Amino acid sequence: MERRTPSYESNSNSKKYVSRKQIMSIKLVSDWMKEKERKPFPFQRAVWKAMMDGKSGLLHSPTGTGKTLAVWLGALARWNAQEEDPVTRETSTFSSPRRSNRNAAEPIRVLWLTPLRALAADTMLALQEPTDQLKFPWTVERRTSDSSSTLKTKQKNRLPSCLITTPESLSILLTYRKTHSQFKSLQVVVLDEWHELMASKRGVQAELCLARLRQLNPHLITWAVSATIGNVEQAMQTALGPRDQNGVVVKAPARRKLSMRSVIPKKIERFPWAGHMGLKSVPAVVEAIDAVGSSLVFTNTRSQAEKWYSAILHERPDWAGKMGVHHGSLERKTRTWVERELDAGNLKCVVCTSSLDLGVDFFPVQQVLQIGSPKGIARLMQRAGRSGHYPGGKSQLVFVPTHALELVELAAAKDYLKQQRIEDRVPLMGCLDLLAQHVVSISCGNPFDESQLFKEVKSTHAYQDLSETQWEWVLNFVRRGGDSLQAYPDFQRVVENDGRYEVKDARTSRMQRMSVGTIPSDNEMQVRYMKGGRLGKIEERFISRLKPGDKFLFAGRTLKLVMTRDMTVWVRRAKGQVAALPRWYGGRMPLSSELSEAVREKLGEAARGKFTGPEMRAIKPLMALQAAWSLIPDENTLLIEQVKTRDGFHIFVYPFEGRLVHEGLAAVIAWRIAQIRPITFSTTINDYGIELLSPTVPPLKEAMERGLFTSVDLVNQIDKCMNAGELDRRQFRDIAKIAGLVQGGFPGAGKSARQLQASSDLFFDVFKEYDPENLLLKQARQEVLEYQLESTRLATALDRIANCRIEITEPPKPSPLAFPILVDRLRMKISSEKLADRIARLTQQFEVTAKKHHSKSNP
Amino acid sequence: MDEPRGSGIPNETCNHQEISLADVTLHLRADGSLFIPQCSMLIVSDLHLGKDAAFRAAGIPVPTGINRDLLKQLTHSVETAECSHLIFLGDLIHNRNSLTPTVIDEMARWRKQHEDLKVTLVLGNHDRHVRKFPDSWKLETCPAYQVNALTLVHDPATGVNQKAAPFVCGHLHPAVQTGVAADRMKLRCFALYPDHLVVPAFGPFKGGMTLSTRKMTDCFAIAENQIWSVKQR
Repeated sequence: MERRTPSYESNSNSKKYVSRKQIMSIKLVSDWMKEKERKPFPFQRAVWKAMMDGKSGLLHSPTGTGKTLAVWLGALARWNAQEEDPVTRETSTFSSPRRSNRNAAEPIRVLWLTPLRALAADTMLALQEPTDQLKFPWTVERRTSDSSSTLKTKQKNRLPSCLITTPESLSILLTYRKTHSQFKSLQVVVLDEWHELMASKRGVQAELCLARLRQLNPHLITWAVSATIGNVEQAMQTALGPRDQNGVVVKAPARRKLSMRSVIPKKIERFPWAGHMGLKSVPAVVEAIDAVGSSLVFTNTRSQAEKWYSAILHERPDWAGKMGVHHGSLERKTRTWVERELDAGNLKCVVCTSSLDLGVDFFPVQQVLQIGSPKGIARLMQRAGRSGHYPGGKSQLVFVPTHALELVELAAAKDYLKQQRIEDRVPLMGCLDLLAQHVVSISCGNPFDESQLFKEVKSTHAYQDLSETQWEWVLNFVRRGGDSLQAYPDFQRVVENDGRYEVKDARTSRMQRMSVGTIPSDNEMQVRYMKGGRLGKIEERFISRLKPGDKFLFAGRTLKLVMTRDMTVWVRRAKGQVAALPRWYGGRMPLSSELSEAVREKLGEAARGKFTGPEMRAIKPLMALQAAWSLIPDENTLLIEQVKTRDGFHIFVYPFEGRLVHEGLAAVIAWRIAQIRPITFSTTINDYGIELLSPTVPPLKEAMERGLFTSVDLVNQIDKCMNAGELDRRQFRDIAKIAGLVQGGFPGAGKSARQLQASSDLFFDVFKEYDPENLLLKQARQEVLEYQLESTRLATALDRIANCRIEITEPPKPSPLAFPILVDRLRMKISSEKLADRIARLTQQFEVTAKKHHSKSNP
Repeated sequence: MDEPRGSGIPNETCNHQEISLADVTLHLRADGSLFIPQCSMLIVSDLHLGKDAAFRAAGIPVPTGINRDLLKQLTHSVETAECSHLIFLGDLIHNRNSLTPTVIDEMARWRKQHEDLKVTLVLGNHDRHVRKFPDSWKLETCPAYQVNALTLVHDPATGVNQKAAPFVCGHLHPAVQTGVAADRMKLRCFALYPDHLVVPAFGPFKGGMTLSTRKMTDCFAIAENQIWSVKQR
């Protein structure tokens, strides 16, 4: 990815436009912008120029607006310039919008892919305005899983001129023969918020669909729109496919200032107070919210959002009706209401999760509060950028730490932000589950030629290294259910006929369309009022622990469980505060490697006695205690602490590499120590370190001598620990769903459909036992290694550790660094309500020891 | 529903726990079968024969070999128990697509190897898909079976509705969650209530429903040829 890309920076309009029509079309759109009192920015002109030249590319900017218009007006102008009878300044009035007739309008010209269907509605409004006012004979429509079936049928017969959709819906569209051929007239594909899509399987799905569209029209151009990330070049090449070598990267400058501050508790306790979700800071947060018009409160998990919503409301009951909660498990209607009210300026604050990371900007939002670790520099920037979208506004971020050490994270993030060191988003490679799904989709829409499709698939970034053997396996999988040597009688999804593959069975096509849209998620149950109103979805595992009459917190309300029946949780409103908090088992984000590095640097400064900025100064006493009991690790030190408590023998290791790396590392070192003699560990990890707990004294010294942290034989050893572990089983869940093993069943299919449902866990066991060579199993393992445990990052971490000085200390009690990990372990063991009490007791106990220690050293 | 682990082929011997329900002595065996010594009767529940075939017929690729192993396990259980009467406690087959020629043939051959065995099927909800079972299987079918004061039914709901208690039933594929945090495991189990006993599903490729042990008198988890009580007192 070292290739130099021609720069289309702001003023490189050196090459002249070739035709009069092109000049006229560009003038038309820029006049329209001026009419709206929005003078085109140089970056917008750069995009238009590149699009006129028939080039694909990527447009990125750290925050700010104008990206949508840049790409959209460019596409319109390009189309206009190619018309026999273009739209001119005279024919468009710039006012009195006129909608085009569906059937007389242009065929499909622009495809706008968006990562969230929630974004589609707003995007549509934004795109509609210029089209209507310029009097283009275009229709702009969206198609998501929420669209009505009448509209969907209309679209199947004739696509709109511009279609806004998600990768799943596009994939489904390609399964219809009629629609498939219509895409030949497509000119531009826009990949909105590409940074969100590209590092996920849905991004790969988009890549595959794009390869198909390019096959239908080789002159198709692709524009990706992205926030700023570390690897914009690679992001562009992923969008365009490795074969397009003429792509351009356009950078839009940030236009808003950003200010950041932290809520620093008046009294920093000696011990970081992890665990109760930072609720200690509620008064300070309420004060911050009160100070401005409207705020967004970002949390890292859905449970945390629920908890914070109720905590803020408890503090300020008068804000009832002026507050909202917003996360992915809530009913669409509720979320839309929150968005609408927020946009209208009627809400004081909205507590949300990453569900509001993306999307149109809410003009009234003046500040953003981040509860808990931001996890990454890009994420922090993105969230901060959600505020201050009014003229002359600036982005304001208030950081609310949930434990004292998180203050170090913010201080570190500030440093790197200044230096513009932002994380990469790494695109996925070679997911066979998706490929199998895609092959079935394509063969529903159009019988395909095997070698042609192979070439097409290889033209994507994700499958450029696909081997013939793997391809053969995928074909066999969709045709016979598995390897040709393995018998899968009575099975048939795709039929081969003279080298052409096709789905003949209408039922298979239908099943395929059903399963393409499945977003892997655990068994979820609808939550409904007894009177019928829907509230959202909750995981079965959580509900199964409750009994009728139990109260829980959901959608910002206290609810009482009445009964569960037919995958629905029936509830009533309840009063009172004591309530269980639902848990969603979504993956927890790891600290990014950039932010981890920044944190290590900050601690290094602390180790040398340097405390700059309010955050670092605030934690000085805590660091002093860490130094007294153990030591503060600098960049070149790996700290290991050995502590004996009532629970057993603890080993704490602090690599500061993020939780994914720690998960793998914990497994490996536990395994390595256990090789010396039989021993049982329970491991806990967080973003800072690892804890190994054992009932007997672990042979640490001996393990160190044998090379506890060597990267030699790493993958092999992870593999061995994974056999014992459950990681690939977990990963297999998503794969099984995508590859079509686990079926949701038809709507209304009722009970008989359940006979064909088995969970992915069951498939995993069956494959392991009866078809161990199944490539989907291998994929699960590979995904665990690469994305789950980040084995590449793990190897890098071990190499870094190899150059570190290793210090082993024996603090009298778990040190301040150890405390958050310790609490994490507790969280797994005990029920949520009593956690606060338990932590309080622990803190007290440790405080006593700290005081004793203090008085001993300073008599 | 998650699945319990440990449905592998058991070793040479078969561990068991002895309990008594309605004055009938019962051996809860670690392979998931139930033995009644006084009438030399072995009870297995929810075999779901041909479940894999039913999945394949619906376009979901499940490998073959599951039935073979299932019957192998059954042979092993029957032989180690040295029983003279075998009872299938319902759901012998999975659905109508399960009765493929291979499945019929495999079961018929198994039956032939165990000709002297008396075999009874207590009908379960899945069995309603079949009007008549193949003659070569030589089954007697009945909605419920009586052993002294003890009734054998498939569905616990039937047992309750018909006031059949004390009874032995299957249907639920019971499983229990044991261990804490990282050690958490889901295991198949025998669930003993004051007036009835729920038998686990026999053989591989079975889901399991986690039951709360709160109302149980006792709960016996099985895994890797072990059976032990996990009820916390």
